[in-house]
This record gives sequence, C-alpha cells and structure tokens, in this order.
Amino acid sequence: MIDFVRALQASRDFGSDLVEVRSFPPAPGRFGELTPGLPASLLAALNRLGIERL
Amino acid sequence: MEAIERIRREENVLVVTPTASGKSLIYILPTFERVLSEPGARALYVFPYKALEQDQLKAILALGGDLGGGRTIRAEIYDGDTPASKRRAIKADPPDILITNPDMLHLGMLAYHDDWREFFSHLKLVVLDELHVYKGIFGSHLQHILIRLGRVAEHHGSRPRFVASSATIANPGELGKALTGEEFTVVDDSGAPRAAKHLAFLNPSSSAYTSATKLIAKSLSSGYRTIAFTKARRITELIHSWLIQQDPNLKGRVSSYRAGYLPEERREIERRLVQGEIWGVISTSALELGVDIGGLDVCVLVGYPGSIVSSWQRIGRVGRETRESLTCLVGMPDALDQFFMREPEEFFKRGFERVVFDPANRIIASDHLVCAGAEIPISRDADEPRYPPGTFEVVEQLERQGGLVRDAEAERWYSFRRNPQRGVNLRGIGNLYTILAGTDGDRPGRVIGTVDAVRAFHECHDGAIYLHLGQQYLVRSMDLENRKIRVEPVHSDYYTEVRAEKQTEILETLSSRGLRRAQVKLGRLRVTEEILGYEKRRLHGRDRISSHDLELPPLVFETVGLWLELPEDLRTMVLEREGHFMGGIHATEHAAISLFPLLAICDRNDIGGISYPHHPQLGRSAVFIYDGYPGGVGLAAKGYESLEDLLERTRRLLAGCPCEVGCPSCIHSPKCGNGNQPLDKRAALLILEVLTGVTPLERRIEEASGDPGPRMIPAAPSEIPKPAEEGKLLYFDLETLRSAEEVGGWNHTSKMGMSVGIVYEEGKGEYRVYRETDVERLLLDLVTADRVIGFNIDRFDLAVLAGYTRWDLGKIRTFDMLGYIHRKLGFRLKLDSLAEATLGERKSADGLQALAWAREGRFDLIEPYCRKDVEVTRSLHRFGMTNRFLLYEDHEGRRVRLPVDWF
Repeated sequence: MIDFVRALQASRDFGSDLVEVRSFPPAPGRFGELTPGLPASLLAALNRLGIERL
Repeated sequence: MEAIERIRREENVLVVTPTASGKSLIYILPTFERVLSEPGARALYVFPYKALEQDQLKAILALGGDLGGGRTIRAEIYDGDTPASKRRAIKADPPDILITNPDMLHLGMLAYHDDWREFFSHLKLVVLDELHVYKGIFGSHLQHILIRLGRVAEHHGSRPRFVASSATIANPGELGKALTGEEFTVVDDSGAPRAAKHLAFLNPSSSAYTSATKLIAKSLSSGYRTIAFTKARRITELIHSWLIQQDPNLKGRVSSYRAGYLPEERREIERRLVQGEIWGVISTSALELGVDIGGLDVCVLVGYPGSIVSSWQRIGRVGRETRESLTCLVGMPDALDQFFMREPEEFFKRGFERVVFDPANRIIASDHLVCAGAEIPISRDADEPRYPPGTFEVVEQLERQGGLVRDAEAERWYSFRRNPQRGVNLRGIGNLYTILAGTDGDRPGRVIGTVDAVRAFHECHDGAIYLHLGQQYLVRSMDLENRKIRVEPVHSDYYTEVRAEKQTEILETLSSRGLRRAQVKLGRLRVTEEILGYEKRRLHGRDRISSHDLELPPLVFETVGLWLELPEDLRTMVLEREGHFMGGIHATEHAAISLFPLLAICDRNDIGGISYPHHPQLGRSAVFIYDGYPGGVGLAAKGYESLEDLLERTRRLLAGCPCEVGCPSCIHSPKCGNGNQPLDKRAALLILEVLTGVTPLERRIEEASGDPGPRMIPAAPSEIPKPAEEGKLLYFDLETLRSAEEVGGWNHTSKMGMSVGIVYEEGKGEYRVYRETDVERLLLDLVTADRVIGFNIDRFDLAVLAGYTRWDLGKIRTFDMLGYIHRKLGFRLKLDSLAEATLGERKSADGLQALAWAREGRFDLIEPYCRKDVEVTRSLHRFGMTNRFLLYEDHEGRRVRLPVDWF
C-alpha cells in the first residue's frame, strides 16, 4: 500500500494537490485472562472459530 | 477483558472501540455465560438497522450453535421482516437472545407486552449497539422507547442491565445516561491488533469531484478494493455514472449505495461486495456502520464527512487486522473542508465531537407518552422519576387535548387509542412518499424507493430531476394526497434546484443572555417554508437554464432555535461603511451554520437559518439558527451554549478565506433557498468582528430602553365565546316529527320537522316550550341570544330548524358540547352515557320513543322528555365549568375523565 501512496505523490494528477500524508504504524494485539475463566464449552466454541486468546 | 469483567459484576458498561475490534464478543460472551448458568435468562440485543441484525445473528450462531452436550444458545431476529408464523412461534417460546431494532421493540414488543410476559419477566441484559447513531430525533425516540422498556420490564418483575457500544465520541457516558437513565462504566481501551494505516489529504486545484472520480478509478485499476463516501445522494449517483463513462469496463464492477434504495437492493450490493463480485462502491453515510463488507483497501472521502467521529468510522471500513489501508480525504470547496485542508493538524488534534439529542423534545414525548399510557397506565408516583423534568406538563397537556385520559380518581392516565404505536415513525417525522418509475403515464409503475416529505418537496416536485442508481429520472407528478411520486427515466444535461422562502415565528423564549450589545436567545419557533419554484441548471458549470414556479402547500413545523437580536447601531455601522446589511447578516448565518458541525455531530442540513433585517415580532434585525426537525434535536441548544466559540471560528473562517467577495468555502450555502442572494462578505466580517469584540461597536443611536423581547403570539380566538356580562344564555334541545330514515337519510335533516323545542334561559331560570307552529318565535329567541348551548346543536338541531327558514342560522352563537367532545376525542359520545358517568342520571326515554309519541300526537309526553334533555345538557355544562372535566366510560368499561375548558 505504501507504494501506491508514493505513486500518488509522484503522479501528475495528484502529487501537487496532496497537502498532507500521514502513516500510522501497526499495533499488536493485547491479550489477557478472565477470572474466573469462561466455561469449557464456550472456550471450545471459541477455539473452533480460531479464537484462542481474548 | 475489563469490559467483560464489569458486565459480570452487573455494571452497566459502555464499550468505545474502533471498528472491527471484536466488540461484539464483549457482550456475547457474558450473555452466553449467563444463559448457561441461569437457564431461562433472556437478553435483548437492539441494533439501529436491520442489516446489522443479520451480521450479529451469524456471529451468535457461529459461536453458540453447538456448545457440546447438545447445548445451544438460541437466538432469533424479530423485526419487520420476520414472517407472521415465525413471530408467533418466537413469542410463544422466546429464544435466549432476541435480536431486534428500536422500531420493532416499539411496535411489536412493547405494544403487546403481555404476549411477551415470559420474555420480559426474565430479561437480564439489554445490548444497545452503535449508540452514537442515536442522535437527534432518533435519539429522542430511543430515549422514550427505553423508558417504556423499563416500565414494561418492571411491570413484569425484571430490571435488566445495559451493555452498549459506540464509536469514539466526546461524551459516551453522558449519551448513555441520557438515553437509558442509567450510569455507565465507560471502557475505551481497545487491545485489538491494528494494521498500518495511511491518511492523505487531497485539495484539488481543479474540480474536486473530477479528482475524486479519477482517484477512485486509479485505486480500482491498481487492484485495490475501494469504497468512496460522498456527502449527498446525488453525488453518489453522479460519481458512479462518471466512473463508468470514464472506464466502461467498470460497468457491473462498481455500484452506488445509499438510503432510498429498496432493502433487497441494498442487501444484494452488500452480498456482491463481500463475495468480491464488485470491486468498488460509492456510498453515502449508509455504509458507514458496521455491516461486514469484507476486505476493502482504499477509502476515498469525497468531502469531509462532517465530523471527526464519522471520519474515523469511515476510515475504519478499510483495512483489517493484517491488511494495510489508505484513506484519502478529497477537499470540497466547502467551509469545513477548506478549514481542514488549510490546517490538517486540526483533523488529528481536534477531539471527537459530542453526540446530542433533545431529551425535552415535546413532540416526541407526546407521541411516546400516549404509547406508554396505552401499555401501562401512567402515574406520577411511579413514572415521574423515569422521565425528564417537565414531562408531566406534557402529560397534562395531552389530557387537555384528549390524547390521554385521567381516571375518575385523578391518579392515573390512560390512552384510549388502540395501537397508538403505529402512528409513531422513529426514523423521521411524517409519512414517506413512494417513488414509482414507469414510462407509461397510465400504469402504476415500479417502486424504486421512498423519500420523506421534506426531501420530496425539495427533490421530487413536478419537473425535478431525481437520481437513482446512477439513472436520471424526470418527476412527472407528485401526488400529495396519496404520497406517490411518478418518475420516468431520462438522459438530461441539467439538474434542478428549488427556490424557497422561509419565515420564523417566536413561540416562546426559553433562555436569553447579552452578547456585547446584542442579545442571544434560545426558544421555541414555528418555521414555515414555502417552495416557490425551481431552477434548471447545467450539470457542467451550474449555469441557470430556466426558472419555473411551483404551487405546493407550505411546510410548517415547530422546533427549537437560537437567535441573535442585533443592535440598531450595528446596522448603521455597516451602512456607513457602504456594506449591505442584509447581505452581511445572511452571510454570517451561512458561515456560522457551515461550522456548526464543529460543536456537535450534525450535517449542515440538520440546521436551518433565516436572517431578518427587521423581524416583525422583535422590531429589530435578527439571525435565526434552528434545528431542522420538528420539536428540536438539541443542536440549537448546544449552539446557544457555545455561540461565542462558534462566532469566533466563523470570524476566523471569513478572515482566512482568500476569496474577495465570498465563495463556497466561506459564505455560500449549497442549500440556500434564495440562491445565495444577497451576500456581503465584508459586511459579515464586520458584524462578526463586532460580535466577537475584535472591533468595538460605534454607538450611533440611542436604543429604546428596555428589551422589547418576543411579543406573545395572540392565542387563537376561543371557539367558545364568553357570554356578555348580562348576556342571554340559553340551553336548547328539540325533538323531531320524523326519523332520518323516513326523510331519506341524514342528508335530509331539514325535512325531519320539529315536534317540540325547549329553551332554558339561565339567569331567569325559565323554560320556554315551542311547538312547530311557534317555530318563528323560537328562531327569534335563538338568534337574539348571546349564546345557545346544546348537544349536537350545530349538526342536528339547527339543521332541523333550517327547514323552516331562509335565515343563515350559522349566525346563531352556539356552543355545541358534542362538537367540542368530538374535536377532543376524535369520536362522539352519547348524552346519556356522559350523564350517567358524570351525573349518575339517565335520560327519561330515548329518541325512538319520542318519535313514536310524535306520530301519536302525544306532545304532552314529548315535552317532559325534551325538558329532561335540556336539564341534563345544562347540568353537564355546569359540571364541566366547575370541575373542568366530565366522565365517561371507555371501551374497557373504565370511568375516565374528559378534560374540558369551557366557560
């Protein structure tokens, strides 16, 4: 995507009209544990959907 | 994590998170836990739009469809699309989680709460998703629906907790409390992972729409799935058609999307987008909310969306956990857009806006109080704590108007209407117009959409060019009575724009304060808008082609507004500097309205404005800014609080705009009904400098002492004339010789003939009896009275007497008690039933008996019967004068009060 942004900045159509470009870096997820934990049946259902952490 | 823990602790929790941060798990998991540990517990999930319900059901079923050991979590959608048979099954055996929207909660659940006893009595949790959507009118409606939900839940023995979610806004807790009456714990720290995001600001040196279209095309041709958001339905359609003109290969690969399309059309576009059948979509705000539309890469904001909140919502529609995204804001030549193009930093450092609605909107309160009274009787003790201050004034007003009735003990209010909920439209004010497309004028045509009345008057009048799915339609006719608009497809090189004229009338001043030597006030207004005609303008260049007159009834509504009363010295100062005073205040109004969205989330179309060089009520010049919705939506009230801030920003906008005489970036308004005439930017800047204290006001004229203030609007003349001090007051009734059937029906009342007529003169205490032969003397008696009081006198007694004379009996000064009751209740009551409920008396016979006596010539028997009716009429009238109510039995046999205010 950053290449597309650079292409826009370099283009004749858009380059001179771009008054601001900002990029926001990715942020990793934060996870924790519930106390008490979720019922086992619910945890298993979450796992089936590919959710292993909350 | 924190949110789930708090929900477990039975707190009301409001989660503020970015789009796609897994917020639905926050309420789904605690709901599942509760249902698993407490079988029978129920949860109600309320989504503002149907499309969101489907998404949620999928998520719940994916997780709860099989929890092992045969245990599942049952969830169902109950909304307007649910078939009748399924509705019955759901009511009979409610699921663990019921998914609905405010409309169905209002219409289908609260209205029939006894049928839902099982559900309401076990209701533990209410989830309100996308809380920030409930602004303005929609917010006021939801507030009342939730109050009604609280009453119904308590009635059935439960007190549910709330979990709400919202986009990031400035006042989530305040909004939650205003809507539900409950305190919320706000959780706004999201731990969801985020991919990189890029934001670009493009300020085109040529046409902004052309640049936006090129950018969308470039994004699509580079292989990026793209969504573009526009600020107007018309622009959505235009960009869609320009894209296809530019690259015919995109036909079928891009779509427009907006409100006004049929629901099935919208679902189909969403489906095609998710499945990758289309690569791009051009949408109004309609796609801003969280319907899952899959992995999109590039978002083009064709114009600033009007709020920081909305901007970030739209930015959140592209990119996901691992998918980088780009959003490009394309600046329009509008004041707000140029504000951010000149100062991009403001976009990032400005806080999120507040979401406001008017909890005191009396029009909406009236609608819902009648519904509440129909559901469970309203009582001051139980209900006053639930409602905003002043609500019981509305209750009493409804009682006077007949919308609510009070019981004989004066303790509880009921609604006598059946299903009053059906008459309340949560999505706006008034009924919708249906748009029918067809080429043959005689055929009904195909329904292509709906439109509300205000929009219909502006966009769908005769001769208008209306756009739908990229197609232009010419409006052939607008049928006001049947609310149908007939259109046919055309190819046109012009668009249409209405010319309108507005007036505002001050009904009540709620608050006022000085602002330098001006006065700023907040109050209730009546706004009247007349659509005078329309202009055809070329699509390219906006040149006017022609002008046409229209004859449409005025649009009239009451609302809340603020106004600035300007000192006469200011006018003098502007004129002495060769400014155009009207142009100055008009430009000030436009520019201030354009920046209003900086104060609270709104569109400039939510706000109206009118400028007066001389307001007839105030006797001085004034600028009005008001909520563009009946009853008010809280925006003008917010503007009143922050007017100094708004005026200062407006001054800076005008001072900073490089144009000479005004442009769309400062004082031109795209919706000005006067075609942006007259406008004077220099005069506006001077006025703003004076109002913000930058330039002192030169004192030229000694102003009249005292604040003239809004003059009271004279009350409408009472329909019941007050008798003169020594006036002749008569009570009157007559019996007829023939029945209606005998003379060919009620249209021939004048042929029924009088058998006996009796008047009682108040003051003299005297009855006078007239037979048919004396009818001339009776007529003289009546026409010389100051007032003749009767029961159905206007429609019946005088109609019978009209058979005897050519006099205009309409000149007799009557007071018809039955006519009065009918106007109040919307239906008629019998004299006998009123007398029995109010006085404990009955008539001595009935009309059929009197007719039989007339046929037998037994006038001696008719006379006491008729006299009794006169007595009863008088007693009821006097009872009403003394007690201010009468009593009657409603359809369920309850004795209820009918408030009266006669003299």
